[in-house]
Amino acid sequence: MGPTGNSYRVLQIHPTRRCNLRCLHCYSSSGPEESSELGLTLLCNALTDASKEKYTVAGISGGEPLLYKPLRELLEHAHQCGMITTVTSNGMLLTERRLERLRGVVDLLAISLDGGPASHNRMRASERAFEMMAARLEGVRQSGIPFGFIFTLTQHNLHELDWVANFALEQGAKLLQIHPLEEVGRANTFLPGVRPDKIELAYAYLETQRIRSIVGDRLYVQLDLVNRKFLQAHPGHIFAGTSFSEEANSPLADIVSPLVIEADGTLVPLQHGFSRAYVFGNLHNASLRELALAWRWERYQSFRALCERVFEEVTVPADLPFANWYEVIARRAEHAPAG
Amino acid sequence: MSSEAPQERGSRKMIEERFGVKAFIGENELTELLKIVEQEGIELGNILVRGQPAPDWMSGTFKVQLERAADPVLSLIKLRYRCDVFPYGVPVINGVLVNFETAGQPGR
Repeated sequence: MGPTGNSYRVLQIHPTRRCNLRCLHCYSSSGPEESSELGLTLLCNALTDASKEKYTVAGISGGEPLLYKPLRELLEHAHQCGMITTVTSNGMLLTERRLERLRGVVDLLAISLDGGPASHNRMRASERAFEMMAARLEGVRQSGIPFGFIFTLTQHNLHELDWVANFALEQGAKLLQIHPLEEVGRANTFLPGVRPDKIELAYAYLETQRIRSIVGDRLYVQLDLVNRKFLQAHPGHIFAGTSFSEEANSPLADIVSPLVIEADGTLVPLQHGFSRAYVFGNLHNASLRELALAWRWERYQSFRALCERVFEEVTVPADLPFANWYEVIARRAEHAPAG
Repeated sequence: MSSEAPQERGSRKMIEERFGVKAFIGENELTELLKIVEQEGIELGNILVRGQPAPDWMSGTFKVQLERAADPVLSLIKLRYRCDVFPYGVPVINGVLVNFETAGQPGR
């Protein structure tokens, strides 16, 4: 089934690493100095192939997606393929003109929000990041595009989650998503030791429940953690427990989700920067369909073995029952031999 | 802009701001609290990768129901849940109000 659930099989696309910011926690180490971008035809072909493999969501990240010139055309094609579209943005560049270009082709706009103004600016390495983002929100509301906020949880900022939730409600957001910081990309250099430990994750879980009870159905609050006991009962949720032969003819989305296109065309399972030992290949060299066929033959068995090992690890009974599965599997993948 | 991060745990700051005490619920007390939550069958289901927002909310309206009862022994609120499944098949976790006395060790 996969960690994103039965309904949502995600193709995450990073069309560029160009960004107007240079955030401290950026997992793709994006910034203004990056200039290359993937071609629209290459990405549209990948979307077409992905939809045939039963991916249902095209999530555009980056870099700053608003700096990708053919963003509208990319999103239009995703819709034509029957996919839901999401865009993750720092929000600062959401001018009226850009919002008009996004209207009708974006199903969910996710804006990063890392705490109150001072904390947000610190994480964004910009003294104007919050002010500029907040100034765009009226325009976002006027556009009618559904939007939400993504909050990166660190070891030090849980106390700001309440403020963030209130801000999200006041601004008319539909979603508040809480994602634990992972020390990858630029965070590895600038934020060592800042990822939340198991105690902070447990507090975050409780605080999330408290916020959920208060906001009710006004705001969907998502926490990107998994419960060990839940996983024990649902091994398929992290690609474990079923037999290899049962999946031989399954659509790719049933056995790998998310599937990630990095900004140089590299196709990897699960998340940006995943171990090259499990890479599909590069879309500049072959189509997504071709890469997927080869991957099933050459790498899928070892990927499944990795998932089974990680399943064993994360379901070991522990006092505090939460795990950041993506972090665990990424770490294991770096140390596990492929093949 | 400085990349220096503050050193204190966010949870400790949260407790101080909310309850006005410099206290900390340690791992043992947290474990007890979470066992209560787990007994009620709370589940965390779908998890998204960094940079990917959750489209689950788009599946339709959802509602939150909760009831609670005090637990005099532990000074914790006992939590009860029901889990409603909506027509699109997206399980919804009912909310819970968590309010706990800080029975931890002051000054940590």
